[in-house]
Amino acid sequence: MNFEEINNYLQNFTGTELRKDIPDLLSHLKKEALDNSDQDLAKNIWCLEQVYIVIAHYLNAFRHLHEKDFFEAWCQLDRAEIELSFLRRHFDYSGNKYNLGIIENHVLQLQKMFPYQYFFSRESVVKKWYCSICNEEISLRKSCGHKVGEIYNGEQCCRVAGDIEFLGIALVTDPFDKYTVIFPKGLDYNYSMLESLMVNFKDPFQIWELSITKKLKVEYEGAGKNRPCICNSGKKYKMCCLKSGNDLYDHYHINFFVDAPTTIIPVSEQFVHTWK
Amino acid sequence: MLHESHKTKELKVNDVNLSFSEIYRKPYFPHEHEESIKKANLLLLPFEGMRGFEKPVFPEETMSFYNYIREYENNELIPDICISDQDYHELELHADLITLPLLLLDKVVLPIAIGLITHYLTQKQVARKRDLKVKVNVTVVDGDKSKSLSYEGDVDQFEETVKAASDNLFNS
Ligand SMILES: [Zn+2]
Ligand SMILES: [Zn+2]
Repeated sequence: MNFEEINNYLQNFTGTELRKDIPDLLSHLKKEALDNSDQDLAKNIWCLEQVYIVIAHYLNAFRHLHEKDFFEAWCQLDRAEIELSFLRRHFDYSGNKYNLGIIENHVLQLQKMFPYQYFFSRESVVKKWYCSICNEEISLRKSCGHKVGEIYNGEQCCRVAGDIEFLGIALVTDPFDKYTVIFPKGLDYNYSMLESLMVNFKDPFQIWELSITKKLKVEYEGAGKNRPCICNSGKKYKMCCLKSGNDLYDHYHINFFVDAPTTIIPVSEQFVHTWK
Repeated sequence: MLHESHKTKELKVNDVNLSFSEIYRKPYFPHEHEESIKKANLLLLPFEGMRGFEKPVFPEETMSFYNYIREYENNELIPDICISDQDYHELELHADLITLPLLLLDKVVLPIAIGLITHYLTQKQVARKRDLKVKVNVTVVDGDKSKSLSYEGDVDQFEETVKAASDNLFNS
C-alpha cells in the first residue's frame, strides 16, 4: 500500500477492526520520505499515523464497552481524546473526514456517561526539560528552536521532563490524567447508563446524540416557594434548594439517528446512582 | 458523572501592597537579568510557599506562556519573568484547570494584558475542544497604589468580566 492507498483506506474505514499492518507500512513510508528530505510528506504521514491511533483507541473503547470492561474503555477514550488533540492543529477533518467528527463527538459524550467522580492527582515539581526532537536541555531563556507541538522529521515535538521532585497525591474532581480513577474498597460503580446505551450502540460509527437537561426531583413537585424547604434546612424553599439547584437532577437522554427506527430497542427511564 | 461545566465566574478585586520595587528585593530576583527585568512593565512572578515546597514555583506551562507573551506583537508591552533559568521550577498539579503565573503590571498595559491573556486562553480552548476553566491573578500598579484582580472561572467569561472591572479600577 502506498500513501494514497492508506489515506483512502482510513478515509473510508467504517468497520470494527483496522488492518494491523498499517503502522509498519506508514513508518516505512516515513523513513523513505526522510531519506528524500521530504519534510512535508513526513508530516502528512505523521498525520495518518495519528488518525490510525485515534480510530484504534476509539474502536478499543467500543469493544471494551461491549465486553463491560468499563474502566479499560474509559482509558481508551481518554487516549483517543488526547491523541486527537495532538492532531487537531495540523489536520483539517471538518465535515467528518475519516469519521473523526463522529469519534470526537462520541468520545466526549461517552465520557459524560461514566460514573467516575474522584481521581488521584500526582503533584510534583519539575526542574529540567529536554526537547524530544534534539534531546537538548531547554531553559526559560534558551531554547533549541524546536517548537512544542510542531512536527519535525515526522515526529511531534514535546518537552520531556527530567529531574522531577514528587510532592504528594491529591484527591481531585477535575484531573488532567483521567486514568487515575479512584476505586474505593467495597463500592462498585454503577454503569447502567452505559449498559443501556450499548444495547443499541452496535456499530461504532452509528450516529446518536446525548442531551443532558435539568429536571425537577419528584419530592419537590408542587413545593411552595415560600414554604419551608423539603430538605429540612429550616429555610424557605426559594432561599434554599430552589436557589442552590439541589431540587434538580440531570436527565440524560439519547437519540439514535437511524433509517429504520424498528432496529432500536427503546430504553425506559430509570434513576441511576454513582454506586451500585 | 463528568458533568458539563456549569457557567461560572468569580472576580475579586483587592487593594494590595505589591509593587515593582518590592519584587526587585525578593530573594529569588535574578541579578544577572536585573537590567532587563527593571525595564519590564509586565512581570511573571512565581508562587511562594506552594504545597509546602520551599522554593518559588511557577504553574505548569508557564514556560510556554512566557514564550507566547515574548512573541506577542506590541510596542508598549515589555514583558519579562522574574526568575533565573536555574531557579525556574514548575509545579505540576495535573488538574484540568489552567493556572497562569502571577502577573504584575503597569496600569498602562492592563488592556493589552487582558487581550493577550484572552487570546492565549482561547487558543487553548480551541486546541482541547472543551470548555476550560482558568485561574488568573493580576496585580495592577498605578503610581504608589496597587490592586489585585483574581479571576477564577470559565475561559469564555474572562475578558468581559475583567474588562468591566478594569475600567474604573482606581477611581473607586
Ligand atoms: Zn530541539
Ligand atoms: Zn433545601
